[in-house]
Amino acid sequence: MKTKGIKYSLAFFLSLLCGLLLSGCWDRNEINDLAIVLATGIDYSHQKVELTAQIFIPRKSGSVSSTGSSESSPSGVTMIRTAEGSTIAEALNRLQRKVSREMFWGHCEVVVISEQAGKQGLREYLDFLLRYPQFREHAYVFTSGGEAKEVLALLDPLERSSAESLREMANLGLGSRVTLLELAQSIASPSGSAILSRMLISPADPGQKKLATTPYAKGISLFKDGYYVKTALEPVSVGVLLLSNELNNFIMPIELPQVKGAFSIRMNKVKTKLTPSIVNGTWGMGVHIESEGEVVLNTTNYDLANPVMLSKVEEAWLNRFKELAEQALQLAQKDLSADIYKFADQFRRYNAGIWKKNQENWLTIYRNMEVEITGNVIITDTGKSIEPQGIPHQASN
Amino acid sequence: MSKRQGAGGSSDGTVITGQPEIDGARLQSIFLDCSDMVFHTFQTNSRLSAVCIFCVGLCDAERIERQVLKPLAETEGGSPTVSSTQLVYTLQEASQAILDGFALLLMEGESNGTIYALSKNIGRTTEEPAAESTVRGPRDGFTESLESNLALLRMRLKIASFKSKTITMGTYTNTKVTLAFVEGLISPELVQEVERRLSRLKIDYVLESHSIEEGIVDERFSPFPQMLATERPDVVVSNLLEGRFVILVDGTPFSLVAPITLSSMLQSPEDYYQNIYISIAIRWMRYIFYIMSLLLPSFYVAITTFHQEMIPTVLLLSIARAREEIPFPALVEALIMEVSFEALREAGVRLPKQIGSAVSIVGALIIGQAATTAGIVSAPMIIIVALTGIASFMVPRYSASISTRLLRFPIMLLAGTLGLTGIILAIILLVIHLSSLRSFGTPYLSPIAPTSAGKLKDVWWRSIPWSKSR
Amino acid sequence: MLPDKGKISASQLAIMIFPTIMATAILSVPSLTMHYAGHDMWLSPIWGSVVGVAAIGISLGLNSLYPGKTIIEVSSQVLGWLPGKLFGFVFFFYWPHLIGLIIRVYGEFISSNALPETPLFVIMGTMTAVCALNVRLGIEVVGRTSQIFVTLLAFLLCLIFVLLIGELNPKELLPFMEKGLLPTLKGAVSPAAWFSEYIVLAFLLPFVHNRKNVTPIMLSSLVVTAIAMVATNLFCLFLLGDLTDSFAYPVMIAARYITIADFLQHIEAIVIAIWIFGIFVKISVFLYIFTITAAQWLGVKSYKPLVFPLSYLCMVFTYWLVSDRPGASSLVSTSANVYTLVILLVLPAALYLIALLKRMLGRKKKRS
Repeated sequence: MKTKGIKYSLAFFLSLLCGLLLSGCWDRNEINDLAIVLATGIDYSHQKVELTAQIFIPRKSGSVSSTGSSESSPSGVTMIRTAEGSTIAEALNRLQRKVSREMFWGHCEVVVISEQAGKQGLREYLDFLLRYPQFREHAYVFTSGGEAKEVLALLDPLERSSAESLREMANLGLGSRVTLLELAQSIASPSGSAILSRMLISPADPGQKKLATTPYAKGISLFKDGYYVKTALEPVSVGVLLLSNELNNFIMPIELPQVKGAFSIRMNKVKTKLTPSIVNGTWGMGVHIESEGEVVLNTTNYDLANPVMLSKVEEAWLNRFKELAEQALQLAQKDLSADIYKFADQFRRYNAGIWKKNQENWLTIYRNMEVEITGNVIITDTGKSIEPQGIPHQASN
Repeated sequence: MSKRQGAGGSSDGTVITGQPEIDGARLQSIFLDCSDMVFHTFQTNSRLSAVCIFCVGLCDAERIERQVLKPLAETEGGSPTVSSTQLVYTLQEASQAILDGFALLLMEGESNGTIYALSKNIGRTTEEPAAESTVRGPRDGFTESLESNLALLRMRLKIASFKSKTITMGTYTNTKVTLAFVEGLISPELVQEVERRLSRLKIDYVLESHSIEEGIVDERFSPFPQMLATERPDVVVSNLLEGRFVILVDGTPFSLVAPITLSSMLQSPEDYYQNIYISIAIRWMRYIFYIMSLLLPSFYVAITTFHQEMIPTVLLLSIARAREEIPFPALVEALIMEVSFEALREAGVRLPKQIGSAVSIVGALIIGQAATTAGIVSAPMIIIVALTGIASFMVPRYSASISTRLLRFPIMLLAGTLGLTGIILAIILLVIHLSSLRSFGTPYLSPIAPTSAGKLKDVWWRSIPWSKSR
Repeated sequence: MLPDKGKISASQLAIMIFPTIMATAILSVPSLTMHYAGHDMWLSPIWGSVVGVAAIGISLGLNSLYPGKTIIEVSSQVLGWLPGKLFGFVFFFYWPHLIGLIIRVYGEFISSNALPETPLFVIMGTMTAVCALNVRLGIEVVGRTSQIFVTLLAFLLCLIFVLLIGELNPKELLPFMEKGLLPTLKGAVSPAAWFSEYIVLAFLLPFVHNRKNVTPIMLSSLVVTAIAMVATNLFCLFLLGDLTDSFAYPVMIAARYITIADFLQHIEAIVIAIWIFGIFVKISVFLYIFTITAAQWLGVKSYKPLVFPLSYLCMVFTYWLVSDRPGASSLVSTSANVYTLVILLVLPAALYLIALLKRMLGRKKKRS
């Protein structure tokens, strides 16, 4: 009994040591041996897919002196490497050959797809990104007007990397916030369309290095059946976001008829509700917009404490919404005949039987569908001031 | 040397003859070359020859003179004025009594000897136990003297059903070992079982209670303690009241309490002396830190070398920056740091108190500062090791924390080979071991598995003492 | 004669059963049911649980007819020596098949999700060794370890569900019954196969020391298991929508998707960890039953010497069964489910019927 216990524990330890020393640690990967990829870019040029990785450089930035006197040049935090191939997998293979450490994609939280690449269809990219084990399903997807690698090459002076700035922008709700999984879902859904935020590069401040600047969101890229079809710019893009229920953090000027100046309203909550209906074989869609907002600027001479005025502003605001929505609908229904706002999903949920029968000629139904836009908007706050500010007081009233 | 020898050597059952000269001579031959034995031959007032024998270090010579010799020698028909006396009939008993610190008196014409309890108090006075100090709670602790330890318990348990049985153990040391329990609260089978195990135990010497613990526990090759060693009488009493028994050993302040469970090892007596919410919060913190002290370095090794995607991006980037210059793999780094931490800790215990603080300063400086700047160890690893160290000090029982110190290393190796899967396998192995472990018949994980709903409350909550009344 | 003297309580048994069903079901059932039932797949486990009721009924019935005897002993008594041995032989042969498959599923899962470079043999071998150790220490230890791990499992599973609530989209539930009821019934075959594993009760009930509340406890265990399975399906559906069946392990995708405050993210390693606890209990339970079956079938007094050789046999079976991952996944598909159902449900049901008939005939004889 006595020796048995000792023997067992000795055997256990020895086998552990053997496991470790002989050929163990099969999957061990020291952080020092990893190239941590923060963002991925996909471009398409000359019939080839270009895969770009933004890689973190783990150097202590300029042997940090605690006083922080080291020059705060953003350079050297990230670098990019690009490789091309006939498929994305081939590009990945070549990319690895350009990097001395094993590429680690587990922290890639941003995927940028150039519109050029989007024209070739997202299918290949999505399959790859959802199949390759390391990629995150929660990564945000953007498009870029120019080349994706240019966006990734930026060294944002504010954030650690341009990947970080893109991610933060998505979190702020500037433009649409779409994760990889959501993108795959919306392309697989009956409507087969998707929208993505479109990123451009703001020009560098004079005197700064060319790369020391920030990407910014401008417009929305529209995808139909997995293919890029069009870019919607403001003001249409606002309507697109509005109908997709993705409008956040937006300040909108509202003009009243026969009034000089405008009110600017910051929207705190915008909700769009789609209600499908099939009456006597005519398909119709009700769009109901709910919104709350506060006035942040008043360049008119009117006093908002006046309820009549307030309701007038609200009415004008709602009309502006309707106008935007109609523009966006016009774009989707007539110009592109792409079901960007997922009406198909609504009908499928509304009445699965009828939907199934009419699935074939959905596009024709969609093109001619009557869409009724209703809404309800409320101004919850008029800010710190009651009366318009900055108007020379008419002394002695 | 398993054959039991008489304490005094060759003399066996020789009876006392009633002639002090002969008996004294016999005893003298037994105690040949024992320089601490005093043989005082004298004549009593009534002309009887007598001999008084005692061990000079153990007995109070002055009291013997005043209370035994003086009355006998000076007054006629006088008798010793000692309250605690006992009669012995054989030389074996007599010599044993002398060795136990009694004074033996042999009188002419009496075929028995009388032993007087006139031992000198050579131990220290009770002080607060160093290893188990509390902020609030009784400050007395056990000492090396069995009698005073029993007295400390009796002070708190003024009931007749608090029983104690004493036996001697150890062929060479003849140490007194007392089994104490509260009758009616403890199951009689348990007492029988302990007595059976104690009587079966053949042991050469008992210097510390651990040698007894090792002899009577169910599974002696477990890294987990199956008896609670404590210096605090209040801990012992509260355990006695929960139906456990205690074994007190002469010569050591550490008493052994059993049967215990893992959860009771993680409870501190202080829990019951504090506000209930605070002690529940502290108790949970202790559970968490106990697990941390076991797993934290392994977890760090596993996620930095196997599951980098689990680390939040920002943290990963700073770890990557810190680790960039480090030549060792994370596992080796962790092993180096943990081993040196253990060494530092052990050195701190061994060193005299005055130098101890110097060692900790040097250790902190060398390991903490120099190693990071020299690029041998990364700063995150220092944090992990320091946290682990703190966590292991959170465990109120030294014997429980010492087992995690040992187990940390194999788990680290497993984490280094199989990542989190390895840690999980280690946890499974640990749980298998713990569930098969029993402390005197009680499953070691007992209120949790097998579940007993009533007692489970004291694990995740804290029972209120006055509601425990039976 | 039971080859193990240990006893467990009825609730311990119920706790052991939970991961025995759920551990592998949680991986495969969402996509398997989705394959047939579309997004009404959350209904399928409810239909499937009927099989669980049947299995529990058979086990309890056999146990009340022959208290203190496992199904292997009962079969010899009911059918006679040779047919009884044949009956036992089917199980004796089926268990390594099933255990091998479970270990294989475990190995493939860990290999593809956590340790792609580690040899499969190491992954599976360590697990089998640990389970064998557990089994060798007896039913009491198996009961206690499962108690601890199931508590952890339930707690962490709930935690993950809670963390995911923000990402869920209940609209995915609609359109309800898009293709009618039939597909959901078809989809119920695979959960039914899992629920048929409740027949392990017929082997384990003799080890329960307190038989008073066995029936209600077992039925509530069934309800809990069914709810857990429905909840898993619902969560996958709400999160992944129609894409659910396009992933090999939808629950893993769900876990990877968790992002709380940019800090708590990518906790799939934790999910794997929890899941290992579950699979450990599952393998242990079946390995225990296997050794008990073998001991009784061979007429050995103690099952303990059999544990290690039989575990090794199961390890070998993992390689005999399949050679690659697609093979392993085909073994949990529909045809395999039918195979499981026949052995775990139809055979014991037949035995129970014969036992009942015999009992009735015996009574008639007595009366006449």
